[in-house]
Parts: sequence; C-alpha cells; structure tokens
Amino acid sequence: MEHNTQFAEVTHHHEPAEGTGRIWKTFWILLIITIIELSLGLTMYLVPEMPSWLHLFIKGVICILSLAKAFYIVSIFMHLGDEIRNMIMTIVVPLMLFVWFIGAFLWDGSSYRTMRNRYDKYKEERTMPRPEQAGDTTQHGFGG
Amino acid sequence: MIKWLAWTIVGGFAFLGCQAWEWTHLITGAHAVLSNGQLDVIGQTTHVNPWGQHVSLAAATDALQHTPHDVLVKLVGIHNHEVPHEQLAAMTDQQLRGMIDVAELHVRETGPVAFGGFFYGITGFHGFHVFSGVCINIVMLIMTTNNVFERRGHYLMIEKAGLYWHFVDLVWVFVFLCFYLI
Repeated sequence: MEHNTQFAEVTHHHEPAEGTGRIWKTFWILLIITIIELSLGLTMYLVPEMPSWLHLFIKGVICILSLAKAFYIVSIFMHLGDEIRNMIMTIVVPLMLFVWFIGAFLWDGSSYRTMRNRYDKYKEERTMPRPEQAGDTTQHGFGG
Repeated sequence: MIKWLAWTIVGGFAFLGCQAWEWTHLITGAHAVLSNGQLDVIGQTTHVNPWGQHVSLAAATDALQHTPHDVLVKLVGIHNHEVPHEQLAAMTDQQLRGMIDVAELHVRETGPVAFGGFFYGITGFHGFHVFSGVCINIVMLIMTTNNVFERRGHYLMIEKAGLYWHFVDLVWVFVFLCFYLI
C-alpha cells in the first residue's frame, strides 16, 4: 500500500476491501457466547438446590467462555491477530503471569481471612518459664 | 463511519444509563435484614451488605418484637405504598407489627462488608473509563465530520481511539464475569 511508505507509524497492512464482514461475524459470535453465559448464570441463580460440584462446573464453563470472548476481542477488534507471530507472543506470553498472581492473591486472601477468623485478642504470648530449683540462689546472666 | 461512531456513542451512554439506574436501585433499595437481634431496613452501600443468609421465619418473627418504631414504619413501607408515610409514623408499634407479613419480607442476615467497596470501586472505575471513552469517541466524531482525517490522509487516530474503546470492552468482559456471573 502506498500509505505505508508515506507514514512510518503504519506497522501492518490494512485491507479496506476486506470490509466489515469479519467484524460482524465476530460480533455475532460474541453475542451468542454472551447469551450462553447469561443463561448459565441465570440457571445457577434460579435453580435453588444444586449440587456444589455442578455449581463449580458451570462457573468453570463460564470462565472458559469468557476467555474465548477475550480472545476474539483482542484478536479481531484490537487487531492483534493480524500481527506477526513474534509480536503476538511478546504480548501474550507475559500474560501467563496472571495465572501465577491470581493464584497467589486467592491463596493470600484465603489465608488472611482464616487467620482473622481465628484471631484471639486475649491470647498472651509467653516465653518458657524459668525452671524453679529448690535452694538454688545462683543468679544467671548479666549483673550476677 | 459517522453513523457507526454515533451509534457507538449512543451505546456508551446506554451503558452509563444502565449503570446509573442499577446503582440508584442498589443504594436506595430497601431490604429487611436481621442484625443485633432486631430487624433493620438497608440498601447496598460500602458499609453494609443486605445479601447474607436467609433467616428462619421464627427468628425473624422474634426479632420483629424488638424492632424500634422508625424501622417498623420502613418495613411496612417496603410493600405498602397506599398509606402515606406520615400516617404510618403516627401508628402505634402494635398496629405496625400487625401490618407486617414476616414471610413476605424475605429477611436475610447482613453479608460481607467488603463487597460494597469492591463492587462500587471496580464498576465505578469501569464506568469512568467508559465515560472517557465516550468523550474520546465524540471528539473522533467531530473530527471526522470536519474531514480532519481525510485531509491528513490516514485514520490512525480512529484506530487508536478504537483500541482504547475495545480495551475498556475487554475489561468489562472480566468485570462482568467476576461480579455478575460467578
């Protein structure tokens, strides 16, 4: 494209002829995923007694669907999918740190909550009492 | 292009309108809760959370006997909109208690206090980002109608504004996941 020789900032090719078809297709995919997510969420809300494993399973499915939505938004709407492979990896691989820190935050939060629930403000910290020995008047330590 | 930018701005305002509506209902909403052995009427704020465990009918009926006058007036007011507030306030406690159907109140305990702070903090920040996105889109709309980009020869500015808008969109996917779905 002649624009690209003219403007150094343009780092990838845009094909205007490609049109808006791809965007609309993505829009419908996102809409369908959102409707599925909402219906799953409402199922959890409206069905009163549900076994907890099923609850957890539905939440897991919703999380995966959300990640799929994130993939479509970043790849199509934010054009990351049009970049070269190395650029994509540079952006995506550091995001793996999220796995670590979401895990770390959850662990830390749960530990704090448990400690706070068990906190006893009347508990006194004590050192080990000095063993008493009959007739022993010897003073130990400094100034003896 | 002008048409779709305009629709995006309309959509942004629609989001902000829904959020304002939701917040108003959460903050001013009246929900019966059991705290300190008596009933109270509260909404969702950063200090209190009315969404705890359901309270048994017996416990709620017992707590009703210890509930002070002003709260009784509020409790009646939740379901009864015909009698004006002044008239309710003039009634005796016994009369007010007679007007309350405890089962209908769906009394709960108070829930975790931290919820309000997280909810309003995070959705509020998101709403602020949407608002700034709408402002940016309005600027883009004005620049487009003035043919600024046509004269410049490229639409990079629109690309950048779009990138911001979709970033805010992406954040909402996760905010929605955490607060509304799970």
